[in-house]
Amino acid sequence: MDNSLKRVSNLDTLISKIKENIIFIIIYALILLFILWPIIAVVFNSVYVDGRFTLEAYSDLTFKSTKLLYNSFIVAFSSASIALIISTIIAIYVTFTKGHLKKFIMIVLLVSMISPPYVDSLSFIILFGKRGLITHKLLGLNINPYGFWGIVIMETLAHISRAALFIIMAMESIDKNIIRASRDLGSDDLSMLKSVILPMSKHGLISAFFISFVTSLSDFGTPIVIGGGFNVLATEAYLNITGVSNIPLASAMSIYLLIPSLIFFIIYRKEMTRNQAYSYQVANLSEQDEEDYLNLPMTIKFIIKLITYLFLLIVVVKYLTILLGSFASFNGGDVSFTLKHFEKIDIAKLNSFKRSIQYSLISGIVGSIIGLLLSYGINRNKIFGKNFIDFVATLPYMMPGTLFGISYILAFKKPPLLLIGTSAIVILNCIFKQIPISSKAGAQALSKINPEIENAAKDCGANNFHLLKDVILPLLSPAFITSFINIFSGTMVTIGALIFLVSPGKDVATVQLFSAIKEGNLGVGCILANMIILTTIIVNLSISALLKGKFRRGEADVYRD
Amino acid sequence: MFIEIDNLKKSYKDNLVVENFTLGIEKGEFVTILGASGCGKTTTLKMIGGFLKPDSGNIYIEGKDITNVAANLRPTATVFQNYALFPNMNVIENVSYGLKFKKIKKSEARKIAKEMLDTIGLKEHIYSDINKLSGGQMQRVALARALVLNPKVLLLDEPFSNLDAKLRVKMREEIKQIQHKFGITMIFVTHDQEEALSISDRVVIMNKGKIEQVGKPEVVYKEPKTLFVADFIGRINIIELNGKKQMIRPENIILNREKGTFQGEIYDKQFKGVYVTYFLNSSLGSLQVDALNSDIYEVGEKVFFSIKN
Repeated sequence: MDNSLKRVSNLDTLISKIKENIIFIIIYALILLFILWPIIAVVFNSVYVDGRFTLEAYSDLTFKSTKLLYNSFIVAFSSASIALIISTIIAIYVTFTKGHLKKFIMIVLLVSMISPPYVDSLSFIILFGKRGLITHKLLGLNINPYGFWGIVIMETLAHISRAALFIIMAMESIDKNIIRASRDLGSDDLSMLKSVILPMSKHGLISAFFISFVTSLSDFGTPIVIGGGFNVLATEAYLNITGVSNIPLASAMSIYLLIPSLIFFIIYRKEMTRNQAYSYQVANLSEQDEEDYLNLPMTIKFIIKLITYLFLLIVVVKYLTILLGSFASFNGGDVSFTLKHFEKIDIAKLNSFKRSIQYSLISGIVGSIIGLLLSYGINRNKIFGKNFIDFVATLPYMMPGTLFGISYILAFKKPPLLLIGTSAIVILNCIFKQIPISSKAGAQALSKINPEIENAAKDCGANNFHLLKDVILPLLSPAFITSFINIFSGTMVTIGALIFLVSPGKDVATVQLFSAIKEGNLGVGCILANMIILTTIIVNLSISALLKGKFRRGEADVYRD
Repeated sequence: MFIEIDNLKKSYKDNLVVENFTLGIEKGEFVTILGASGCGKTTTLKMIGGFLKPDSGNIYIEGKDITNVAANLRPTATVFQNYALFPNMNVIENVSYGLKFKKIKKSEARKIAKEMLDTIGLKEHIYSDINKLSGGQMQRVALARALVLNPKVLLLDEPFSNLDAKLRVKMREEIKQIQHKFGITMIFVTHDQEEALSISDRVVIMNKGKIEQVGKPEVVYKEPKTLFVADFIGRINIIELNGKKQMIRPENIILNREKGTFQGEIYDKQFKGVYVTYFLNSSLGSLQVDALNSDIYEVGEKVFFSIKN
């Protein structure tokens, strides 16, 4: 002990500081390499064409494609607004009324969150398409549902679940004493809803709207599947990469997609990322006293119930359609039982499915570890530039999937960073796309751990490595599980970025699903969708069960102050 | 001097938290740093423990400069305010954790930890889950975890603030006994003046980042150097007598029904058990007076009083 007391020089201090923090330095470097560098690569590629600087792509886009920009904006704005209204109503139903279907609604919302993309479109086409079961077969109509409204309705439906979860979490976190106080001061429940509850849920409402908005902006699939001739920016970017390979134009397009998200992101970053790692304990809504429910006028109550039930009906019909669609033949407008779709599930499709599971597992584990370490580095280790790193690490959350995919193509196409065509690029993309989720899960858990515990460990003689191994990581294990479930599910159902990165013969289940729908193989699409949903649900449920058993004690530990 | 703290300074951005902190502590001494919240007392303790780096100034233990030695290599151990026990470990794992870094074998470490838990009265709880312990037991585990390291200096950061009043007094006595038993030098931080006066060899009173006074408990109480100290430790009346400002403790004013130097009227009183605090309006201004409960005056009574020297 005595010789360790000797004074150390500044250089030694620096070196030992680097040694102590080597884990965080590596994590920070990874964040810069796999998040910041790809974005820089896109910007670079949009302004450097054939070795010279030009803003041609931007001017082309701005002046010749005004219609495209307008279309994208109007679709995103309409679908996000409608989704916001409906999900607010559902959230009020779940949080503040004496409804009987709350638990069922929560399950429906969570299942929607872990459903693959385009299930809405898939069932929509089966039911209301040109040869739709309802429009054509039942009603004998020959209407064309494709176009602007088709896209808006599909995207709205796709947004509602996530938006409703955000708003429910915001409303749940309102201190019930405030509601009692407001009543005590003589407020009636309707004005309390307007002047207390909604303003206090502001961050939930804002996140719900903007996440919907950004998701819609970057969605190229729905317009392709259901848009008819209605084109948006994301679709054009997708076609420019996969079809004509106009890299500068596609880059400029994805930068345009990024701008609105970036603006909102900078303004609302703190608010928006507060509760993003939804855990599956959400389903166990806190028991409420009946007196905390709002006593609203009959008409308003009726509207709230009507809209909630309608939404539930649509979702139930949607999943039933997809389930039955796997066994139904649609040819010639006649519906009959068949197993022929299953014959089309060939080795290639099964392999893509296997790959999806592998990628999701790896991303879930590696992404959670990196995210948790990152959150620890940012929250506790006051290393320089932590605000900047935090900002960069949260970017993927708001970044349109299209951009994140294209950026990887451009960033990793040349040695020494040649990754194109490998499985690694797909996995890395999934990992870093989901980093914000796991780092927020970590931050949430950390905020509940007494910071003095770290001082206590150091006081006992532990260095940073032992501090992490013996104290911090064990305490973060519940956050690890939450993060793993989120990343696994997110990766299973993601498509936006992956479609640009998977190489032929090495694609994943969602890409196969997309192609099946595009080619009109609705039955195959249904089967793939079911497989993805089923796998994700099984993994979610089994890990939740594990969590309940193993961490019942541990959780109490961590969440003690 | 066993510990020498020389001119410590610490600021957060523009906010000066500790300034000109110079203090010498003898081996085996029990020194309390007393002050209101935000006065810099915990910051000072953290600098001694190695959890914060001072902007300037030095800390010596047994003549060795430890200012730049990392917390895990210092010969100090800390008992933290909220115990800061490791919730993922049980009692004995918590206590023996620090021994791991002294290159002591696991079986040996367990033995030492067990002996310590025995001494401290936690024999029955060796394998208990940390979260099942009561506040007092957690406090003991925290103490054991620090003591087992055999530190040269034990630092205690408001260790009793989460305990109820009765347990606080009990733990206070236990700490004092432990100090006698182990002969450890202790630096204790608290905002509770009664606690400070009752257990310390010397008290350091801090205000706004600076030391106001250092001295034995009875000295700082009876001969406060500044108005702040007088007011912070106990209660004080400030009166103008013979053209001079004077500080008079409430117990140094003697009430009497028949005779006295001054006259006043009682406008309020608080019964405190052994004594009663009266509030007087008088020619000297508004006064607080503590008197034994043997003779009780009523609100509204006119009384005489004199000032004890």
